[in-house]
Amino acid sequence: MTSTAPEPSIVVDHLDVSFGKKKVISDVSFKIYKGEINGFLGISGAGKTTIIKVLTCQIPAKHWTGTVRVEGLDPAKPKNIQAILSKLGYVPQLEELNLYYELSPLDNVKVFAAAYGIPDSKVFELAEKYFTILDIPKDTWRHKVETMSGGEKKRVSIAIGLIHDPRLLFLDEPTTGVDASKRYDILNYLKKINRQLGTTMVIITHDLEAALICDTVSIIRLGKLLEHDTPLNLIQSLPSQGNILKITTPGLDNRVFRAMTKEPGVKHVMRAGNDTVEIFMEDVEHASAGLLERLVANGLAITEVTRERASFRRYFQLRIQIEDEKEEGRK
Amino acid sequence: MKERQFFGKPGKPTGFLASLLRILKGVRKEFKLVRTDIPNLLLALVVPPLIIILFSSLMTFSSTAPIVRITVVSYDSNTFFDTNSSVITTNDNYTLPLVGAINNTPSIKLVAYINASEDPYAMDVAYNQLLHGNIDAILVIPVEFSEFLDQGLPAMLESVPNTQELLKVQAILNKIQEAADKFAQDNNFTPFYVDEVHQEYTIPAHFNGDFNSNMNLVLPFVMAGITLVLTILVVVQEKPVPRLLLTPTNKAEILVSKYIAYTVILLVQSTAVLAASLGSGLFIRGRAIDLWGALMAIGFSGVSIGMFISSLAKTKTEANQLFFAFFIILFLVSGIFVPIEGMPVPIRAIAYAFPLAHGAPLIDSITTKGLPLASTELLSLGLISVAFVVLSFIAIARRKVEV
Repeated sequence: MTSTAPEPSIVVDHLDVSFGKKKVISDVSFKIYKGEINGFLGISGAGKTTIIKVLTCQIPAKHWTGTVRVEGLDPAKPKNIQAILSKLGYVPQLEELNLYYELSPLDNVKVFAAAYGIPDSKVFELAEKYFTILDIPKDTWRHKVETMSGGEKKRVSIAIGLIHDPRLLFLDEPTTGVDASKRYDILNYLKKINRQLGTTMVIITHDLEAALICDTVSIIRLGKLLEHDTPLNLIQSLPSQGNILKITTPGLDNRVFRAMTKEPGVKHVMRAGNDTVEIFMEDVEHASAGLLERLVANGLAITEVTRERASFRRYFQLRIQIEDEKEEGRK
Repeated sequence: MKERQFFGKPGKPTGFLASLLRILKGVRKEFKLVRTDIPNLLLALVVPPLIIILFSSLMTFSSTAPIVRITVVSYDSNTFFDTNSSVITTNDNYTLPLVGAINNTPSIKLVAYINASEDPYAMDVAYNQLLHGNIDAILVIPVEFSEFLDQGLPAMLESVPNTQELLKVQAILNKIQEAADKFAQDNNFTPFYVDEVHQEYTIPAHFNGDFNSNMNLVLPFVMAGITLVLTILVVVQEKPVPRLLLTPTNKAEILVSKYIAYTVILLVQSTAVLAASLGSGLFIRGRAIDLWGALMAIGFSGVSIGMFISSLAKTKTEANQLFFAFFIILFLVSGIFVPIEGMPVPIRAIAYAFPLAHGAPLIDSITTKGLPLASTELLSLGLISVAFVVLSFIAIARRKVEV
């Protein structure tokens, strides 16, 4: 029995986007495979939304060059637009852009189902399916959306994005504006949908916690794609495969910080609190003891030492910091 | 994953029939949204007939009383020299009967009768009464009145109506003429005339002529105004439109759905306004169905202008501002302040580009003259509507819409 290679849902090859003389996206290439959850990460203004707008046919072809395929179709061709839009779902950041607050969740489902040509007879069945997966209370289904809580509205909005069983779902900042305690619930719901339905998802976010559910992440900065890989691979690309030395020393100041960065074998040092630093170094398992001895010999009082695995959040911050430092160096 | 079977080709919701179904479902969505905004719905359906009823009540209780107050000044008793027969007479046999007939006319109140042969200042007295608003007209019986009637000749009465309110002048003259006609008919005289032109298309006496003449302006204003107000925000305030455009639905389908929904509402509005108008005593010489058609035509022009504003405006504030600008122009060039024929040519062109310049004459022609709906005014209204419909589709096509 042979296994088939995964098919790409999205192919982007050497994409450039310009508005007038201003180039906003530069030479971006990546693939997202069917069934994957991909996180599109980057600070505000990085260019994430622009790339997504190309994929969702919102930016006319005259503004971009390169090869783009969405579910095998080229969005540059007007004749493909309706077919592409029928295969993808979109959940905007603001629920009010996705929901008629004056209507009930069921009526909202009817409106969007009609847009995809879904017969009325199927609407309740679909609504029941997704509302159940997303734990939307049954007693809210027939009341106006404006009477629902924020979390419920968010989940109804996600349900609307799924109503036509899309192959590909884009979610714009699905956890922004949600209570910290509910954020993981939203991410868990998305993971659940992906596993149960096999929907390919692209999550546009600057919430690094979203990386927890992502199969791959794409890091965008200033219109360029810095990285596109699994979170695990990216962490393992750090010195010592992402294993770090964490030191707590009272009275940590800039002088001490700079001294640490100059130590042999130390690649990067990042603050992790007022008195705590995380050190990225080669061969941390064997070289850390020597480093600690030198630091103590130089008069540093160390109260705590641990060896940990870097989080994705830490990887992301370091990656951006490295780029910023390169940019500074170029200046 | 199994392809979902949609209307049309599986997985491919494209084609004319799929588009038509989306439009129909879009109409359904529009009605659902309209039903959720009760105040707006009340504004659309209840307020226009209420305005008509209120206006008719105002007309009934206003100072424009249906009674015409007259002072009769008679010179009939003076000496008349008949140049044909060279006979001198002072025949005034028919003066008092005429005065009595006028006094008995229900719609005329005889304030005073002055015999000028006894009071040389008769006309001064009458003019003074007219000046101070105590009467609506002076009726002068000339010296040859009774003599002419005796000879079987048509006599002539002279009237001096209060011309401060031009709309009332003809009504006054008509009432005097009606009294004179009745007197002549009752006494088998040759009909005689009041010396102003008798308007042929008079409103029957048991209808309120002032109400009818004012309704020619009120009805178009109400229809154009209320449909404009109802539609100026329908595109701009619907926040999920950009999201809807990330489905196979396109902008044209969304706008067509709205046009259909608001035209159905217009059907109800026109029927309600027509019913209120007829119930309030509007006289229609023509057919009621033609008047209804005129209301629909004027209303649809308001719908098309409103849709254009809503498609063009980027925000609700902008839409409200555009509405204000359009409505002010609509009002100023309607002909209510200055007759359109008296406007400078460029302003006249603007006036004719708006519906009220055609709506008021159209309604007047149906109610007063009994002319049919099919007319140049209807054609003009149709062209205006088509122009704004086209502009609204262009505006929405050019509208930058992104989620």
